Amino acid sequence: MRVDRRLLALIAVIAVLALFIDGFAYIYRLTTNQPLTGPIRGVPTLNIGFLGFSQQIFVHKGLDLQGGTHLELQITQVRSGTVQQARDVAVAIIERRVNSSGYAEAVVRPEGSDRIIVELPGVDLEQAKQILGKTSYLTIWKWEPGTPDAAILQELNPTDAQKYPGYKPVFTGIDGSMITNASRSTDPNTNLPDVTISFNSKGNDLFCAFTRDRVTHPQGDPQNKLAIFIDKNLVEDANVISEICGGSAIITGGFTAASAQALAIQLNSGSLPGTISIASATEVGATLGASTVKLSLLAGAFGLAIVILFMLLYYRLPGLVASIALLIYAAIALAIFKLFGVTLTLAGLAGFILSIGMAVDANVLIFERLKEELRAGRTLGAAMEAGVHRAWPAIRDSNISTLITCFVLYFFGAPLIKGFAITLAVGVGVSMFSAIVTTQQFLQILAGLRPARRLALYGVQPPAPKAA
Amino acid sequence: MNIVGRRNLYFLLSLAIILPGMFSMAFLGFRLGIDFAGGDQYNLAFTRPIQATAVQKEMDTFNVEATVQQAGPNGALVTTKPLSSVQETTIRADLAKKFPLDPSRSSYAQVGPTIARELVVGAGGLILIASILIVIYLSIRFNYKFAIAAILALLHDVFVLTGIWSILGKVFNSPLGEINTLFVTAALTVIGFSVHDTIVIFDRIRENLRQASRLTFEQNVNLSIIQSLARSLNTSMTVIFVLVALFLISPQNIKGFTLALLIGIVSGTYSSIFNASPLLVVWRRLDPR
Repeated sequence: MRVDRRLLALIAVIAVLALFIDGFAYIYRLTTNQPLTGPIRGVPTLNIGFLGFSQQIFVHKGLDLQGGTHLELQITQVRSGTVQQARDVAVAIIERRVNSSGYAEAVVRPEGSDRIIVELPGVDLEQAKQILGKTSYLTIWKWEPGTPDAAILQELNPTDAQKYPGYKPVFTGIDGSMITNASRSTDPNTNLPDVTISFNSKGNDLFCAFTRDRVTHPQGDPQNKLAIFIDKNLVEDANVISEICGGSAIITGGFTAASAQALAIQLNSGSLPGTISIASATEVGATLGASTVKLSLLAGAFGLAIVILFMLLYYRLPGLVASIALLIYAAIALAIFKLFGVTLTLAGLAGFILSIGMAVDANVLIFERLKEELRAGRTLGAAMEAGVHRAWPAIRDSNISTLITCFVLYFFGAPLIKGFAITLAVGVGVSMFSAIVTTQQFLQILAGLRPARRLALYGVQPPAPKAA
Repeated sequence: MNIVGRRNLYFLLSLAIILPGMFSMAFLGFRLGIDFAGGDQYNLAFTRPIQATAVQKEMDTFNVEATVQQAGPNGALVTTKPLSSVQETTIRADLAKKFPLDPSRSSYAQVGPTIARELVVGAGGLILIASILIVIYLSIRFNYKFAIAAILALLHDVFVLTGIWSILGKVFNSPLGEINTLFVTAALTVIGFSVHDTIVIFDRIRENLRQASRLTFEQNVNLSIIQSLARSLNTSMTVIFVLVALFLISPQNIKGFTLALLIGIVSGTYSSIFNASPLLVVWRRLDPR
């Protein structure tokens, strides 16, 4: 076999591409005039205009590496429909809640038939519970002559319910379930934060009729007022100046920006279609994740250095070739993680670091065969070809069995295990390429160089003339 | 070097390691992590050294079956029975008040009882499915005798690992010997590695058998083991180097994981050299077809 120039070119192109993607964050910093160290602004995105290619390139860190809260929620006591329908409704509601809280990187997805996974990077468990757990029940009331009875005093805050002596609150039939959206807004006159709510058609009909009726009472009369209660408390008690039939209303209740935001979220949550409980929760502190990454990378670099040292000492020149192939391998694997958005978790990092150790195995197999062939007196070129050829079945069968394990882990395992399976599988796949294609081509180049033909460079004594 | 000839010695050595583990598993069971047992776990980090006993004393007041273990001078691992949301918040607030807690370096996990049960079923199933698929693949590539010998070597490694884990967790009461999701991941990786290692030797046997020679089956197997010895040891050495590096500097929460991989890889290397291939010879003697 001779050196295949096209294959060599392919290796070079892949290696350069991989290095480009690995170092893309620095290129991004340069093009956006950012300093090369410190936190990065924005997400490094590779745009190739004429190909219509746009891809975010960065290491997707799992929650255990970047800190945050992972929740697995379970739905029980579904009020109507199947559990699965309720789960999908709940996913949509939780997604809306999470998004309106401003957690753009959050993940909300269904799991199994009755579970929901929620991942909130950079959020601690208490905050997460608040975002998920707190629903606010909005009701709109009118004031009518009379005194509140015991039932009303139970349902509403007694001080609020008895605000106007001689008047009692009466429920209008309009509640939070008729709200399609709530958002924080700003009063153009006073510049104070308020909350805009939109009604569905039923809510709009009721609200329109209710305001039309209230306008008939003179201003200052409690019967002209509209009372909005959130849970038990009166948050707004406003005069109705004209009928409101536009499908939306504004709540101004002396809010701060934060409390307006919080109310909007709570109103958005609406009512969940069943009881949601936390089946499992994991919370990781922010700097804990960062120090784990640092330690793992240190372990990876240390492991890589030892492996390279060992290969150089034991296999000499081929060891050097294998080390270069190993570095190319590490660059390609990292590029694949970045390009395809593989989420790196703690177990995933371990899988990757472990695969460095396994990646040299294919090389070791080839080199052991190479030595044997050289000892048997073959020429360097022939020995290299035979070495690769004979090592191949073992490399193929052993790696396929590892891939089978990865496959089982990925399809049947818990999320933590999935991350490990992906990185290990990528590692095994790329290492086969590295051993069979990269190492082989480099060896062929060596075989063509006169100074590289000395057998001592391969850790082999020149064969003695056969005695028998 | 006659490895196959001394096979009974090597089988005995394996038994000497596996049997105590089996006893421990049968009579003491495992130290289950919260993934499997259900419960809450606080991995607390403090800003200055704190004795685990002080934390234990505080936790005992809550009556939640808490066990507290020292995790480095500035850390403690608190495990409790499943807590309600209110209990959890109360305990957290209390600990933050009584101890110099650093929330950004701490972590917390809660696993409900339903999820825990599913994981137990899942882990056993995963090992079974992976084994069956590997047997099928090896039966196609080699033959069923090779496949079953490889699986026996694989089971050897699983028993060595789980046995040592049972002893570590129950006899030595070490948090390292906890059965959790990461341990299952480690066990599955060991399975992959063990088969990987065995196949390389089997490949050599397959190749040597194809060549006409005057060697007996037993001599052939022994020759194949010797021929692939350098490769077996070198590959395992490189993996072990990486794992030792990982183990020494890995944080508390994955120390058990790297230790399990380390034990499994050593066992996997041993079983493929000293158990799997000699088993082929034993089988050949019992059933000479």
